[in-house]
Amino acid sequence: MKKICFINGSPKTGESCSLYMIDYISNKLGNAYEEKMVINALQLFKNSNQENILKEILSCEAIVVVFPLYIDSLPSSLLEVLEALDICKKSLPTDVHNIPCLYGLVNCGFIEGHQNINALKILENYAKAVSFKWCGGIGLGGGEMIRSTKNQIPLQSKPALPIYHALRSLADGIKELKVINSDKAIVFANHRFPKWFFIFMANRTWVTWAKRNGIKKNRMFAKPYLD
Amino acid sequence: MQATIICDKSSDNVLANFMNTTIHGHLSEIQTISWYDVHKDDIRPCIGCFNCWIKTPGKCIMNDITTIIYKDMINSDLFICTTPLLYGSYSVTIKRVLDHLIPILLPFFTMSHGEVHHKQRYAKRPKMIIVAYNESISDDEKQTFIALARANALNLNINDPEIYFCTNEKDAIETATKIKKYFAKDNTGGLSS
Repeated sequence: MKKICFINGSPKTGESCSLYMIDYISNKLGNAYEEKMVINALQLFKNSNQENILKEILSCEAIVVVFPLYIDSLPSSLLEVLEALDICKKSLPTDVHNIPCLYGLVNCGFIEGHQNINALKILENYAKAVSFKWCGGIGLGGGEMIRSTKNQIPLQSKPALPIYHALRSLADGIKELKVINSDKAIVFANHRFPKWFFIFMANRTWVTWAKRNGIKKNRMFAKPYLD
Repeated sequence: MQATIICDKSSDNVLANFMNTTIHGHLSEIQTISWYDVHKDDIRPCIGCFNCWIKTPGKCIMNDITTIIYKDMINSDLFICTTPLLYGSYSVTIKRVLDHLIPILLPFFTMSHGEVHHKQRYAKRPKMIIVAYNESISDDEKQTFIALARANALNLNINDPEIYFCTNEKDAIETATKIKKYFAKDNTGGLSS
């Protein structure tokens, strides 16, 4: 039975771009996998059954790590899960029959998809360290905007086409357990917006969100810890 | 010179213990250092709530050791971080600390070096020294970490950090000696008499 596991590296409990991407890719896979697992990295260590879950992940043909960029790399909670998976794998007899294919899908708050490059490199190094097959990954810019404008700017609309192509390339690779196209023009993608427009929209959104908490714009510049 | 140092106390292998002991041994006489030997369990992971930007600007809602580290860091001239190297990344413990540092930035974006980055909350920024260690470090891991540390520096609008790699005790002693000399060059009274 062909199995796939999505590791959701977003520490957010509610909606997130990562979860949206997992749903999207999962739907694109159709019936290619008989069993699909979605593991939340932050929740895993609260689960008393974590050892068995890690073994379940290792028994999958494909592992897809989906996460937001934190300080130019992986969120600590996701890094912890990957390290635990590494330790678990090394404690088990070598399974020569199953070498999982590892894929990455990173999104960042900046508009440029290429700012995810270091996170994908870390995943590639990880694959080498644990003897998984590195099959590549994609890096999407403007992650929160992709999720929050999914109805206004659908993925197949003109401004979102680069994101659509990157996701399609990833989904096609996962479907057939193949290495994805490594062309940087495809794997690093974002909306076709001028940068000034992205900055204008994003900055306005931050002010709106702060206002909902009763925080006026000038208070957002507070310097609470200056001696 | 005021300095903040964070060390990972979660790893208990031979090199990690030697690294931490050596750094302490070489720098303990310097009175202007705020030391933080952090253990993974001291810090909860960042949950990406962004409250530090839109609810309690400049402050993380989790009040733990990272709150104090953050306060010392922004008032320091030098920030030193020693970390086990994990797949070309910081260790889990050190990453937990760093993930909590986003209130040092503003949520607002601006253009910097041709890319979109966050605006800075504070005008003052420390110089950064990073020491990454592991008994075995591949060239790929090294290159990844250098690129990662430089990206971090760019986002914090800090000049390129000094990065040291240590794979054995000799490297650890040499690195600690170089860092100590850095303090000795300082003429603002960092070293005790």
